[in-house]
Amino acid sequence: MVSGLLVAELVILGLMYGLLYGVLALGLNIVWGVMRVVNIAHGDFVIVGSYTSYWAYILAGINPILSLLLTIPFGFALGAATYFGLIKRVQGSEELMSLFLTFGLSTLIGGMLLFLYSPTQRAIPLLLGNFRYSELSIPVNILIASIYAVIVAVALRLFLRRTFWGKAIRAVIEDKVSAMLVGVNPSMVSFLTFGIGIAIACSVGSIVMLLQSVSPTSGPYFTLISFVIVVLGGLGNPAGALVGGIVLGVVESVSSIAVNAAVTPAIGFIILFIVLIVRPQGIMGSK
Amino acid sequence: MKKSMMKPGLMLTWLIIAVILVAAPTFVNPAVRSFLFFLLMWIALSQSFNLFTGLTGYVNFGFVVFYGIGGYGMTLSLLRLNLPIYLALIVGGLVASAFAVAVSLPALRLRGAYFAIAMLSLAQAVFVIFDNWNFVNSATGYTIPVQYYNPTQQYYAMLAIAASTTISVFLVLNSKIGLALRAIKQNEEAAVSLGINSTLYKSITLAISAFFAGLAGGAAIWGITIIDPPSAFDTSVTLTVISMTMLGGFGTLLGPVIGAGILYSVEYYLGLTYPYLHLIIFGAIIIATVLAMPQGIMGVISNLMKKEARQIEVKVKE
Repeated sequence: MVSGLLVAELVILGLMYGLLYGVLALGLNIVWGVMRVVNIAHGDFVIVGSYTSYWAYILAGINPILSLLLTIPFGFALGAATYFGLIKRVQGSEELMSLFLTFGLSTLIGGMLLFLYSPTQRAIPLLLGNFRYSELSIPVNILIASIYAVIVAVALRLFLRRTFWGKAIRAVIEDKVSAMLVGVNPSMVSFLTFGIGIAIACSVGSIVMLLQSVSPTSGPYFTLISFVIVVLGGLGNPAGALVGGIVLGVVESVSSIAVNAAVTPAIGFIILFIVLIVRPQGIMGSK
Repeated sequence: MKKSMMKPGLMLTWLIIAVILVAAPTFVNPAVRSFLFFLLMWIALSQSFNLFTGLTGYVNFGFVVFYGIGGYGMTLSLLRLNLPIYLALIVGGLVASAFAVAVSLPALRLRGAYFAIAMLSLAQAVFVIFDNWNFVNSATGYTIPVQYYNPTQQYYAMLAIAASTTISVFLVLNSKIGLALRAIKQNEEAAVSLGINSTLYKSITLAISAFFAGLAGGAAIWGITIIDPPSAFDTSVTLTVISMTMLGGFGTLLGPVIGAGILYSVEYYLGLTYPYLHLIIFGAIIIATVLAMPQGIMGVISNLMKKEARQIEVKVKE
């Protein structure tokens, strides 16, 4: 018999993982909203962040939480370079082209990481103990991850609501032509959005190093996770991404009671396939 | 394209290529024959990818599923039902095709990026299911018994599959379906409003594409002799066919053949010395092709020919 305590713990763990998933998907989501580009390489940027933190820890002993200071600006610069070098050139052409372009980029990044660092799984041996509240016991690592996710989500919301460029991004998501008519520079908005999207992906990569091991081939998995969430929450809907993330996190976590852990990754994809067919605009999306 | 295919010079070239490929096993050594076997496999796979994605504009990121299911269909009908090998190959193709029809009913209602993502996730889900499914021997997979090993027959089977896939692309390009697909690719809403049943045409095309991918998958497993989920549903198969078709030119008849010829040769020589370099090169080739020549090598050639024709026209006028 499954105890109530176990279920409660799994729900809380799923919720915390889900917040991190949700933030990861936020990056993909705003890029889609502004540019109508589905970035297949999103997950590979997560792994770039993970490897940056891994080497910072191994070579200089820098804690992954501290190396966020490194991965966030690095991710933004990488995103900006990718936007001006690649994405900008296919904006406005067929959707097929941006799909292939980012698919090629994903392969290139994965191949480079494999070539440089071999397919070995890498992990940072850093366990921070458990947080206890009456009978519940939650690993501190996961607690930190979820706190980070909340900080990013709140910061992004403030940025989008309160600042000029944040409002410009929202205007472009809502109606690109009207935004241009009132003087918003779409190229500047796209560059900012892509930079922020990749900075989020890289920083989530640093945090992921607190939770699990990664290898150069883990990228596509994170891309798919982000897609599942974005579709659950509705493309172009930032609040939906967090809800989608939590839904996926909790379903994955709780389903581990019922099904073999090896099958868990398939659950997300099966959910995705069903949602795409039954409700392609997402759970929270409107058409 | 249609008429130029029938020119005597080109027909002669085709004939010579055909004779060389048919006679090859009698005069080449086993290493070259094995090279040609896999080259033909990549031609067949790229062509069947091209048949759907090149003609409809729908990106099938889950292409490898049809290859893997064809391989499993062939293996299971050979080992469990004791069918003769050629019948087993066809069963593999039909199983892949039936799966494509089943998937297409819901999936082809999705457009653009949604379809691409749905297929990507389908490939992942099918891999995980096969990896844990006892009916297909889960992660262990199967080995094709040694009595079926016959490199010459395997070579001819793959040659026949590559040739029939290419011929099918030719037939579809020049059929009513091809015309409907071109309309769908350019503007699906307009095509539908003119009474074209877009879902039906897309489903048919996906079923044909999956049939040939399944055939090629079965023949490949016959040659490789081992099948397990990680190799049968390896995403790099999808990656490779995308690179090959992209480089050669989407939606063209010869593009995938040219792309497969160039890239398989590159991969063959690099794979022997550097394990992951082909990923970097294939990724870079996709990026460069999208940016520099989105219509691929065939697009560049046809542009050059148009320019030449225009120059000749100008001279005639003068």
